[in-house]
Amino acid sequence: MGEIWKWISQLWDESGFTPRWYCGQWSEALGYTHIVADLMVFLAYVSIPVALTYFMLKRRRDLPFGNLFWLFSLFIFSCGTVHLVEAIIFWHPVYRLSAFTKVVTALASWGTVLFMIPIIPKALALPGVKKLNEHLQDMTHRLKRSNEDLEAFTYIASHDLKAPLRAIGNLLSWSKEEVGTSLDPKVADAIDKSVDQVKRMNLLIDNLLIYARGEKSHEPVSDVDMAHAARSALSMLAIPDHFHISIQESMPKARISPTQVQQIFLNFFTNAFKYNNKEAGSLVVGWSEKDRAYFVEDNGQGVPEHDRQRIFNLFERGATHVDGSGLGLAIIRKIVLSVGGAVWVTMTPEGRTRFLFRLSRG
Amino acid sequence: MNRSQILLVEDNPIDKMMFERALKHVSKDVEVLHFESVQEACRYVENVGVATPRLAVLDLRLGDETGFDYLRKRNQSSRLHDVPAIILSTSDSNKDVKEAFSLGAAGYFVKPLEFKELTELIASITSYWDWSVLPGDMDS
Repeated sequence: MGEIWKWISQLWDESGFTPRWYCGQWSEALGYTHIVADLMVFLAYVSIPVALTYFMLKRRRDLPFGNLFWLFSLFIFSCGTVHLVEAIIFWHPVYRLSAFTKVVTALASWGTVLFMIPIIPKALALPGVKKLNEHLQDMTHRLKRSNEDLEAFTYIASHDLKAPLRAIGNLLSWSKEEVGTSLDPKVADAIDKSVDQVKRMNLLIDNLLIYARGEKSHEPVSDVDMAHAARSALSMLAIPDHFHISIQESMPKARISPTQVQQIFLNFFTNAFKYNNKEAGSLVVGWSEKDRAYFVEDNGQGVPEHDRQRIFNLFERGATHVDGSGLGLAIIRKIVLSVGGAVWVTMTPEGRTRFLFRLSRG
Repeated sequence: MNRSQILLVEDNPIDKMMFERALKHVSKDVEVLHFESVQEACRYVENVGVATPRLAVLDLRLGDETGFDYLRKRNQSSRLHDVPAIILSTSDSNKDVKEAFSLGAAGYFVKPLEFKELTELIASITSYWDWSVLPGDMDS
């Protein structure tokens, strides 16, 4: 340690030299031209690595060839100090320090050169920003077109699937009406059941369309008052008489399109009403600070541990005899994922089913 | 105007048959003037003179044409314009409903799945337009 310290202090040793001002016939003008120019070069050379370092740390952690940037920064910085020392020498002849800075600069510059040579072919192979942008635009364009295709497809599919279904429904119910009371009750019952199936199929098509459009909304996003959204969804449903519903007023607003929130609440509520087997149903909508998520909680039949992932899949349904399309939770999950959020289900210690959902990242 | 005629533009034969049967349940006096294309329907109304049907019922998807095409033509022809037009379609898409009303449709109805519902729907439609006073009513 003492040795290194001794060596460093020797660098500042001026013995054996005279300040540059006294070597030769300096005019003030020529001397200061050297000094000012050297200082300007020094400042410029220092500002480059400072700017590069800031850029590296703050903005572009993904920059390729990061080590080269550090080496290049060192190289430029040491070039700068060479010029600074040149200016100092006019008053303090620190030629030993000058030699040291020049050796450091030489090593750093050759290091940079040697490091650069193998990288050059790789750097040339990197696509330019312009090319990357073109690629991105192309992809965006294709995505947009495929979205439009999908929309046109779902629209036509819905019409072409529903038209024959309606024909069946109409013809069956007309036949029953036409024959009237003389119809065998068993046949009448079969017709009614067929019409019910037609209605189910129709509902399934409707829900599939909602699912297909789930992540898309033509409506702009806004700051949605969740309590208001929950109440408005409730107003669209027939609430069973025995149900008690409570909606927390002080929920954080969500940035999403109002139609999407409505879809989420409609599907949660429909499920809560459908899968309740208690004498007095109960439904609570609120915000859980602990989970940083909204929740819809009810005292329904519950979701067993092994079903808690599965029920969010398309066409998957919990073990139940209740009618349903198996699309409600899948629609919710699709919407929630499309805004970067999440949805999951837990059972509370009191045995209530609690669905939680976030409508943003985080 | 011919108060006992309803113009139906519909290319699905079963839907046409059901419409006629449901209408027959409601009233024996109303006649259905059926066309499969917008063009034929428009040509008929343009050339029939004063005895125009009292109501036009339009399907939306009609092969290459749409019920919207009828509504657009209706906005450019005074004769077509005197006949109120309503949509009876499979589609319940908000986009279609909005477009229909913006083009001047007098109503929008989704085709029901059951014959009974269809009969009820047609009963209310015919009774509404029975009570309505239409252009040309007071001249005769």
